[in-house]
Amino acid sequence: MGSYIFKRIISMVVTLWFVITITFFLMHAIPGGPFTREKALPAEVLEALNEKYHLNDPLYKQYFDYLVGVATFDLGPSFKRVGVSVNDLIIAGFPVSARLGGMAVLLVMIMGIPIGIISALKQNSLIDYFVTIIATLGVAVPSFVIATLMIYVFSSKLNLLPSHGLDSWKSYIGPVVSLSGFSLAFVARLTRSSMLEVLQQDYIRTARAKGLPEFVVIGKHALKNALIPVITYMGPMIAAVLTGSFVIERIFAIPGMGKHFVESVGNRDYTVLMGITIFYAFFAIAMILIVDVAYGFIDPRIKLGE
Amino acid sequence: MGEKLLDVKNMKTSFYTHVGEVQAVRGVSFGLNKGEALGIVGESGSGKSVTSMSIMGLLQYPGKVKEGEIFFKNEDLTKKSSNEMMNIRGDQIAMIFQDPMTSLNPVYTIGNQIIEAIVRHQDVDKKEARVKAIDMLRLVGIPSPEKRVDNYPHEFSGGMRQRAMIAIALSCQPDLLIADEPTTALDVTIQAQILELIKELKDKMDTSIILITHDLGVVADVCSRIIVMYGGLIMEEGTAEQVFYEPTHPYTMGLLKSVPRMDVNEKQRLLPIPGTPPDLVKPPAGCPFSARCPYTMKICLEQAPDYTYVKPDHRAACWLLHEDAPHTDVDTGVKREGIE
Repeated sequence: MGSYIFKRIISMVVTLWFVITITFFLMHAIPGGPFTREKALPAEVLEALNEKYHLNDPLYKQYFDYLVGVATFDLGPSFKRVGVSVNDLIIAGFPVSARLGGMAVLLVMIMGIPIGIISALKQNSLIDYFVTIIATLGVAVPSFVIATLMIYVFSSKLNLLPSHGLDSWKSYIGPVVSLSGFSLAFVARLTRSSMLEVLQQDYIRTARAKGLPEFVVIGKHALKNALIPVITYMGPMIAAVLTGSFVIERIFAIPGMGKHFVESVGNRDYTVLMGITIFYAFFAIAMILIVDVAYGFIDPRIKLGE
Repeated sequence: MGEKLLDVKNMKTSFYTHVGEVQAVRGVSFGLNKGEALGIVGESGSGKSVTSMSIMGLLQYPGKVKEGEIFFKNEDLTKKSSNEMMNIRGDQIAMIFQDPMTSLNPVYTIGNQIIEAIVRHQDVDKKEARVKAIDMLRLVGIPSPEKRVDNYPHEFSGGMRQRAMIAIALSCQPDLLIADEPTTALDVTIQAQILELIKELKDKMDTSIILITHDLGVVADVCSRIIVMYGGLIMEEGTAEQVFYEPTHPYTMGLLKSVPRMDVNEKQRLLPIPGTPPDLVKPPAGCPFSARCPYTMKICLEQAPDYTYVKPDHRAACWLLHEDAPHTDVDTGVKREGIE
């Protein structure tokens, strides 16, 4: 187990290196730079800025300098916000995104999984049809449509929820619901179909033949098997939701990571763009690793490191 | 002996599907004495497994016992609530299934799955149950059970898994063990070991057995009495000797002829029964076997025969046994004396 995790961490570093390299060179391949303006800056000013941020160095030198920076957990200064480092931006933005994302993930787990189970147990009932329709809608309708509808109905028409910011607990409802909508619907559908399949298995009949009550048959014997595919999906989902959906953060005017990310692309704020990409990649890889390790605990047939 | 443990009376089980009512079992009556081993044979779809699931109360939607009574220790199981049935299942009536590879839950240890049955029905704590589980594994012939108890099913071979299934089934000393094709999924040498184990434990634990199979060799080995089912009905019932040496129903004879034998010329071909079993959504009005029977008469197509008692303990449902039936030379499939 230990050597398995060690190997995975090594491969994680390699993956990150790939991400850094590809992003770095693609980013520099885009025409323009952080200090390109419609009305060009005076040549001396541009020269001084480029000098300050080492943009005059040859590309390979900038690349190696950047690698050294990442290795020492220094993602460099923002080109656009004077005196603010990328680390500062992440430290300020990530907790906001993560809090929102954490609530969304929680909502997915405490709603999506039980809804899927109930739907499977009541297969072909009215509840099941209702869940299936809502879940299909949830998967099909993009989050920004849900967000816009939330604002239109609950903020603009009914005046129940604030339309932006994160000032009270109420203001979390809109973003969390819009952020979790897709995943919730997806997890409910996945749990339902997985549960239906497991309920047909012979070991469920064995459990019933032992005289176990139905809640043990479902809660112990069926659930653990049914959750295996759900967990596969949860890893990348958690990474995506925790690091923030820039669409949702934009619509609700929430100062999370997503907002910085979008702005940095438009601004050619090289370091911010790189820094957040790396942070996101790191998070996604780490989540997948955690899911893989969790597998070993849930399904004994999966032997890690062999 | 002689004390009735199980008495099934005119039981009918149907599945209410979208194509109509599938009458899987259409009125069977049989009894089982304490300590007895009864074999139910028949081909696929003859209603043998549905019979056992009906007794266990394990029929899943849309299946239902629609008529008849199932007396177990003089109490009618069809009148029990689902909670009462839950207390009986696994405790007084236990069951082992066809495929040991899929009948154990892959994500729990063997021990966990035995302990859970013991704790469910007996007044013991987990520690005592674990000791019992290890004893059970030893009893069914698992080597070093103290270690094996913590293994997962995938660490067991097929034969060992079936042994573990038997350990689960017998862990609460049931009065009745229903074995539904317990050896079908195993290879031949393991089959013999498992049958030997079932026979041995039956005597040791004083358990009555219903053995369901399509393998005549299996029942001959274990059971003293045999029921032959076809089309949801009992075609013939008798002692093992009667059914094997003096079969009176053409279906039984057909089954015997389709089994390979050591004592006949090796060049002789097996004789399969031509045709397929009847559609149980629209079961035939007459004898269900009439469409495939070589001796079909006009009445066989029109009216289902009643049982004729050839001997007090040997009955068959066939018009050929009626006193007005023309005397026919019937090839019983026995042919020779001294079949092993």
